[in-house]
Amino acid sequence: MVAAPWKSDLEASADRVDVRALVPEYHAAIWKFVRRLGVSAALADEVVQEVFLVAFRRADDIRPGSERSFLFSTAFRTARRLLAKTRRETLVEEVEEQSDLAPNPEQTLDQKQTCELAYRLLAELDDSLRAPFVMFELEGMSMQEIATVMDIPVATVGSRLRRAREDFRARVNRHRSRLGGER
Amino acid sequence: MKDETDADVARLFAALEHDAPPEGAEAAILARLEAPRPPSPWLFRGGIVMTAVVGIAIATRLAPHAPAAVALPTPVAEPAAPPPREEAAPPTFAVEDLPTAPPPSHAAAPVIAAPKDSFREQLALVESARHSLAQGDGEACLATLGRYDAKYPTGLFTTEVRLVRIDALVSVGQKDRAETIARELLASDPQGAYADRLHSLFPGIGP
Repeated sequence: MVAAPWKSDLEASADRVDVRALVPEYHAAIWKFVRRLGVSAALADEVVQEVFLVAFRRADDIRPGSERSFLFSTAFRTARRLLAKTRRETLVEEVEEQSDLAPNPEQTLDQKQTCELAYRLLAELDDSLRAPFVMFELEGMSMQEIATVMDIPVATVGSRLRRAREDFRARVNRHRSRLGGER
Repeated sequence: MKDETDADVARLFAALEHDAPPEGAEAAILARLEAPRPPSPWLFRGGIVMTAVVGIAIATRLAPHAPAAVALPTPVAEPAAPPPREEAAPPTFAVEDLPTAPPPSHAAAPVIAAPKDSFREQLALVESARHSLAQGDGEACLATLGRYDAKYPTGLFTTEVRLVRIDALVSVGQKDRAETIARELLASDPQGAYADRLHSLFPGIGP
């Protein structure tokens, strides 16, 4: 008998986990994740599509119960490659300078404007800090999960998280101060 | 000050939670998963490289409102520090701006949205060929692969078919023919997932 080691992912896909069933469950979460990592709205759809295509091709590598981890890890690597290739600054939508954090507590916030401001402030973080910050603060991942996704030691996750928090809060304060000085 | 910052951060995070993908994006992904894609010479277990740009570009042209397709590069090192800030320009992204995996030398015409039945039939043929080979019947395997080539000259599994054919030819004593096919595959993708095994089958075959 002759061994046939060439079985491709495409062939085995007929017997694998149905990745299509993961789309309704994780699509929005993955989209938000890549946006928060710095991918523009214009490119987020394509990136998310590639994430699910990778999952489709590698469905037999996805252990039951680890679908979320696989998708987020793939999304992280995919977004990182894209951001490394393109200038992060050009992907950030322009935000009107009067974007406000409502120094007046009684003022109604413009949700969309605040959202855009949030993306801008996140984009100002260094890539290596933004990723663990987004994963921990916004995606609710544990430090161990983040370490696995980023393939870095847990201690490194901790130190980057601390620096990211300090940096982000400093930017928030500067933005508020800038607006307060203009009033 | 700290409380104010905490509140601001909370508001920013809450605003992000309200952002959502555009309508139809989820359906578009499901449609792509349903439509078989062009074959890739690197489509192997444990060795995935994104599909050739052509197929993606064609799929993109079929969806005129979608943004420019992303041809993602093969794994790269950690990104360097970001370049100096520039004036924000409208986000543009051209497929040709990214490095792409080298296209296969046989340059199979891209397959556009083959029906499900075709996918299943192609898969069945390849599986049948492999089964014959596993049973020691190299001739039957080659016959099935021939039927595949005749019916699906630009099918989804053309690369897999060539690889199984190599094994089958070796099994029936036609190693020279097998080596010719192996050389063609290596010429199109010297670093492909199957390269190591081809080199072990045919030492000195190069590149």
